[in-house]
Amino acid sequence: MSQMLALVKKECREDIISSRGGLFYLAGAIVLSAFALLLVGNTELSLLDNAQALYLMSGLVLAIALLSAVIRGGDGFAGERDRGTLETLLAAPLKSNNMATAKLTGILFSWLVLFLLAVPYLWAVGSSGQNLVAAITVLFAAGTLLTSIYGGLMLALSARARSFKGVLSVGVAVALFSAVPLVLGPSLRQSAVGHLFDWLNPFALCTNMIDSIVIDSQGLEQNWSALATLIVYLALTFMIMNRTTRKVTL
Amino acid sequence: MNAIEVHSLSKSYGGRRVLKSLSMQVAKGEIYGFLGPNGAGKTTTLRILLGLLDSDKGTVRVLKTDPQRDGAVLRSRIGSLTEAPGFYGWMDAKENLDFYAEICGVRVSPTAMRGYLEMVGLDPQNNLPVATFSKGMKQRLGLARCLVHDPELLLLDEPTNGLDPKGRHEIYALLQKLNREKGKTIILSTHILDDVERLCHTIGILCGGILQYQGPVKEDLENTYLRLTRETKEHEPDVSFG
Amino acid sequence: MKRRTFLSIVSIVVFLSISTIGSAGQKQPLDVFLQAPKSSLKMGDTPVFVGRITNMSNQPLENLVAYVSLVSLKHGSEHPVDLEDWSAQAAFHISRLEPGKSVSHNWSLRLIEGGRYGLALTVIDPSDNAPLISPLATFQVEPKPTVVTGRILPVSVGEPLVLLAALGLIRLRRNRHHLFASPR
Repeated sequence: MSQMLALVKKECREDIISSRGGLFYLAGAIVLSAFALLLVGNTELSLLDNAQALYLMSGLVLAIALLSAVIRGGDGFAGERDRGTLETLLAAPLKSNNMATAKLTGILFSWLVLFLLAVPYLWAVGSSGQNLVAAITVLFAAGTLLTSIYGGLMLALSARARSFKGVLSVGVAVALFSAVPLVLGPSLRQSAVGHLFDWLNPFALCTNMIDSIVIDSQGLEQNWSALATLIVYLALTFMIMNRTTRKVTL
Repeated sequence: MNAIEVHSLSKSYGGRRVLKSLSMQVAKGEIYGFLGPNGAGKTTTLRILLGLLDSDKGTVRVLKTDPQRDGAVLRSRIGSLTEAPGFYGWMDAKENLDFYAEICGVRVSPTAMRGYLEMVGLDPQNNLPVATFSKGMKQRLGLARCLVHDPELLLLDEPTNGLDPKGRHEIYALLQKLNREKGKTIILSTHILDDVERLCHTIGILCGGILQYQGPVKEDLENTYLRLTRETKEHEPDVSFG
Repeated sequence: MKRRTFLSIVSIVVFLSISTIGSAGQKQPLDVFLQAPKSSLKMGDTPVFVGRITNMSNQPLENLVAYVSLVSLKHGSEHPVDLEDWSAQAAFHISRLEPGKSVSHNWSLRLIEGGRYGLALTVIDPSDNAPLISPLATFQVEPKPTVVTGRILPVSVGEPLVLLAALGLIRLRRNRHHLFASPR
């Protein structure tokens, strides 16, 4: 356990200390700032009420979290391989699936940092309206589930991939495909295909959950089916990750 | 008693047989020189011993443990130095060693850590990130890393790669000391016959996927090596003579 | 007495008839009317106001220009409102309006702020000095809670700066001793 913790510690430190980690958080904060300023500066967006603004801001945070999980997950083993540190890591007396769990914990730490950075924006956007506390709570839950699912799947892929570039291409494609609901029109989303896509897509499940809680003021109990689906995805992710990382080869 | 027992080990990569029925024994407490030309299968053998690669056929016992089945546990007793050791460039030397000690489950005091760095000829006061290190410095740090958890067995792949003659001499003196004073078993994979002659108790010459010779260091090692590698005709001999 | 009363009554009737004939002679050439939407309105809605212009004269009228003006009727702070953010529609031009004919035009407004407002339709006839203005179409826009500007700016500007400073400090701390160290 202490060995896994050592790896978790290294992942967390690398996330903050290395330039790529810090720059990612800075870029995320700038994106959130730009969007917040648009909410007051743009005529169209300034007409949104607090709940709608909160929902959009939460969706943006989830999108950044999704991208972070995909990049960090893909880097988990393939990035170590590219940097020449994988062999040393594998030569340590730590099982490779425990390594994967430690790396996933590191990815969740990144999500926690991003979430904490996002809370002031959520407060600024939504504090004079409804459901701010509910929004923050559901965003944390949804983001944790989403990060675990995409991070775990990317780690599984990374364990089998030969290089980080290949994994990243697949990961970014998956992330873009998941974000498609954001650009689908309302009529398409209400169609049978739209509904099916919503149920197959963890990102859509999370954003729909936030929509119903923040805008429609529904409770978590009314979203039990979305939550249950996400938990099933999570269980499947852990199974896949455990199986594929049981033996990581050089 | 043997630290390593390998019987009829076979391994193929993409249809090409790298190891064909390799059998070798390494006695506990000896320095074993593992020789062979490029592509002979030395690194593959070391990875199988570490449990990083699965063999296709044969049995392997390292410190009486099957590396394929209990690799994670076994590796806490083995220190390995790969041909091009990788480090986390943003950490300094001490941080890299601390991290490795932690994932091996050992606590090393700051004094002991300084001792390991001095042992391999690195300055413990050096706080520069490893990304700024030269190849030789990284090689020294790699050697320190495989010692921090006080393993019984050392698997060293080209440990003097990138070192100047003085550096090579220092490293071999260190290995002799570790063997004599601490009883560590050392497998040394190298091209430098001169150092093998000076350092090793037993040698194995791997060529064509088979151990062509295993036994004490011969007086005419150079000729033996050239003859054996020429006979297999698979690879151009790649040997330096110090 | 009876004769005097009779003469007074006749004078009054004659006077009133003359007045009526006089005012009939001063009838407006255009009838301008603006219809406000009947449903309740709230911020963000885009209701349509229908304007109708009728040529009441017996001459055709040409090159009429019609436009709407908005005024805030908030008690105590009545003021004209710049339509730039409310409506993208420019003035409406009528090239020729035959006698007795009417023309209708829709003005769409985006209600960007709550309050009480009045919208008026003004028609300019180049051949006439006096613009004609419709009765004021008054309407109420219900406000809704939106983002508080005062909170956004400090967070949007401050947080990236604080983060940059924090990352810089971390980097500085790690690099500080590197500046004075030298590799062996």
